[in-house]
This record gives sequence, structure tokens and C-alpha cells, in this order.
Amino acid sequence: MKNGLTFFPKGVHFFRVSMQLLKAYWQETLAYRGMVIIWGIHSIMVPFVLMFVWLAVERGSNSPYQDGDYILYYLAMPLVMNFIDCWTVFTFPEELREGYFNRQLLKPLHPIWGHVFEHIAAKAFQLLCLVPIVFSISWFMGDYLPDIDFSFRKIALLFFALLFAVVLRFVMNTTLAMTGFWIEHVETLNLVFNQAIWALLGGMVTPIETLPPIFRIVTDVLPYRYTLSFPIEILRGKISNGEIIIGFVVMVCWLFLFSLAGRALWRAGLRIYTAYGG
Amino acid sequence: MNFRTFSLEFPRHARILIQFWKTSLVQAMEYRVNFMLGIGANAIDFTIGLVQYGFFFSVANSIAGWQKDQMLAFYAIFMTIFSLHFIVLFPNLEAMSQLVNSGALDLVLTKPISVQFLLSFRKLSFDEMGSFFTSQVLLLGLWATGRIDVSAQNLFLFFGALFCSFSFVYSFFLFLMAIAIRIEKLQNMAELMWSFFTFCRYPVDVFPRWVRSLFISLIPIAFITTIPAKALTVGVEPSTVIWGGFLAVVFLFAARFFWKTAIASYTSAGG
Repeated sequence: MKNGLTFFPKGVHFFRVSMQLLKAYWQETLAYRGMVIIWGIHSIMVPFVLMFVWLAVERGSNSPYQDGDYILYYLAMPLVMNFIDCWTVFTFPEELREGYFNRQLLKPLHPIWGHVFEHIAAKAFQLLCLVPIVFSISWFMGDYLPDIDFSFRKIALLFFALLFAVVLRFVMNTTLAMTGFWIEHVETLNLVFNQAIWALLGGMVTPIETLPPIFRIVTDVLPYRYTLSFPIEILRGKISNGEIIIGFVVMVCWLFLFSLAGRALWRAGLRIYTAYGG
Repeated sequence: MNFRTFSLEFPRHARILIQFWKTSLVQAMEYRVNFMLGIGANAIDFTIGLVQYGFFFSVANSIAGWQKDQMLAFYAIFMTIFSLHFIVLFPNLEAMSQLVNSGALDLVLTKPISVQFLLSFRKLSFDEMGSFFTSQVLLLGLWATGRIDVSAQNLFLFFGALFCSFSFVYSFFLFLMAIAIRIEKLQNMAELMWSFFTFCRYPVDVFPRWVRSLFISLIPIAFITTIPAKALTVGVEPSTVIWGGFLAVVFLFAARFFWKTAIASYTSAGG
């Protein structure tokens, strides 16, 4: 590719560069630790409130979820949300607006990598804060939680489901962020496509497994479910093998589609980018 | 500026405020497409929030005793308060950290106007107008179709409770503004405000009994949305609203005191 912006640089050199970048972003995360911790608390609070809402709901007799299932679902959610959280849709357009992006383009590394390492560092730190809180609540509520078996197969599945969810969410958000080349404020698009619909069809407000069949057709086809509910469904263990396979296939399809779209937008965007500001 | 001079000079302040709001509108209109897009996106956001209740009630019969129509009224009232906070307070809170970090606050402090007043209401954000108007339409629709039955007493108590609600939101906001002066490192105070609103998004009746009584007696979460919504739909005891009013006064004075000490301790960013 032109001007050295190869997406996958080769060799030991790349490894050294990424280690350095990770270190730098880790320091930055530590500098803003107050903000990261506040954000972590916020991300626990939303599922926590929703858990109480569902426990207070007078359920019909056909509900597949009992109290324990809801508790498990909303306790696992902050952890999943921490993994999949992605904020390129805020930072990337800002780079474009403020003109920092020029600097990124000069570096001999694809600018996306900077975002990737920033996310890894911040999430690692947030996870360190979240895990003790979530585990102490689960210990406290242990009696109410349903039994979960942790076989090797399930842990492996969980790992891949989470990994794919993280990558899918990152690619989705970053693709949307690329529209920042044309649109002044991507945040409005993000609010609709990535937050409102995601909360609804991803399983945040209502666990996907409790939805009526008509809604299930929509949620199973769209990518949102796979970035939030899917790993938790695997953890709960009531999902059939067939459904898991279909889930992974749908995920890969969306990943492929969004990567292509993102790449196209990136190239077209670079061509029209005229660098305002300094 | 103390309260007495402020109330004497209120007309002047109001005129200045209107000028600032006009400027905000002009600034927002500069990006016309974005302006319209923001309002449109917001209306969609509001609608999706409504569909959420459809999802809820596809599984549930009632939420902690709240029926569907009552829940819709609850949502409309929540969105009214939430969007008003977004329109009037949020842009100012967002600007505050920036003012402190850049030292531009010095300039504001020298102006012959109430600093608290100016910094609290100076900017307007128009994105949430969509939510605000849609929730009014929803409330009116619920009332017009007879889904909520409002008596004169309930309406009176509702406005009383709503007034308490605004006071609490404002005191929390002022408290965060004061924190922004003391701690420069906090990038985005607005997120703390959202955490606070997370608890107000659903009726406090969903929480365990001890949390609920805490939210009514000391931490006024219940007064933000639950009490106004209850006042409108099923009615509340007047004593509850009176207690809310008392708490609101206490909170306003506490926030004001905290703000004054923070401003007094401000040492500028230097440079």
C-alpha cells in the first residue's frame, strides 16, 4: 500500500511498537483513572437498576426466566459490556475535527492501531476495578443464582463468543466513525444506531431469550444481539448447539460486511480529507 | 452577588440570559443539517424508548404495581425532566471543566453579574428538543384519550412535585459544577449526571423496601420522577410533596453553600 500505511505490519518490529503503544496508553489510562472508575461504576449501575426492575415485574406464567436467571444475566452484563465497549465513534471524529488526525497519518502505522491499543489498555484497567465488585455481589447473592457448569467446552465457547463480540462491536463502531469524514457530528447517528437500537435489540433492556418469537427473528438476524446477549446466553447454558453455530455464522457474516464497508469508507474518506485546523 | 441583589437585578439578568440563548441558537443553526438531524435522531431515540415498554409488557403484566398506561405517563414525565436537563443544564456542565482547565473562568468571575446564574444557564443545547416535545405530545395524548384521569388536586400536587424535581436536579448539577472547580482532572462531569438519572428511569418501587425508603426520606431519587408521575396518575399524599419541598430547600441551600466555597477557593489555572 501507499505511504507505508500497511494494515498488518510484519515482524518483530510491529511487536515492539505495539508493546510501546500499550505501555503509553496504559500510562494515559492511569492518568485519567478517576474518570475510568466513574465510567466503570456507571456501567454497573444501568444493569443493576434493570435487574431490580425485572425482579419487581409481575411475570406472566410463560416467562422462561426466573428471578435467578435475571440476576445472573444482569450480573454478567457489566463484564461483557466492559469487553465490548468501544468509543472510536467519539474519538475518531474528534481527531478529524480538531486536526490531530494529520499527526496520526504521519506515523508509519495504520491509525486504527492506536485506537485498538488505547481500548485494550483502558479496558484492562476497568476490568481490574469491575471484577472485584461483580464477584463480591455474586458471592453475596450466591443463593439466588442458578447452577452453572464450567466445562472446558463452555469456557472455550465463551472465550470465542466474547472475542468475536469485541471485534464485531469495534468494527461496527469504527465503520460508523468513518462517516465522520463527511458528517460533522457522528454522535447523533451513533445515538440511534449504536445505543438506542442496541439497548433494545441487543438484550440490554429485555433479555433476548424472553422475547416473543416474532421479535426473535429480528434480533437473531441483526448484529446487535451478538455483541451483548449472545455470550451471556452461552454462559447460562440453555442455548442449543444449533443456535450457537448459527450465531457464530451470523456474526462472521456481519464482521465481513462491516469490515468491507469500513475499508471502503476509510479509503474514500482519506481521499476527500482536507485537514482543517492544526 | 448575594440573593437580595440578584432578585433586585433579575430583569437585567433575564435580558442578558436571552441574549446568550439567542447566540446559542445562532451557533446551533450554523450547522443546519446537523441541527435538524439531531432533533430527528432524538425523536427516534424517544420512540425506541417507548418500544422498550412494549417489550417489557410483552413479558410482564405490571412493573411493581405500575400498569402500562401509568408506565407510559411515567416515561413521558421522566423524558420531560431528562430532556430539560439536557437542553438547559448539560451544555453548561460540559463547558465547565473546559473553563476551569483553560483559565477562562477568570474572565467570567470579573463580570458584574451573578456568576452562578451565568454559568448555570448560559448555553442551550437543542438536540433534545425532539424528546421534550414528543413527551408533551405523549402526555397530552394519554390525557385526551382518558388513559390517565387527572383531578384538579392531583394536577396541583403534580406541579408541586415537578417543582421539587427541578430543584433537586439543579442542586445536583450545581454540586457537580462546584466539584469541577475543585478537581480539574475529571474530564466529563456529565457522565456522573447520567449515572444519577439511571436511578430515576424506573419507578423507585422496584427497589427493595429499605432502598426505597432511603430514596424518599434522605436521597431524593424518588422525587425526581416517581412522585410527580404518581401524583399525576394515582395521586399522592400532600404530606409527601410538602416533605419533598422541604428537602428541596435544604438541598438548594447546601448546593449553593458548596458552590460558594468552591468559587472562593478557586485559584485559576495560570496562563
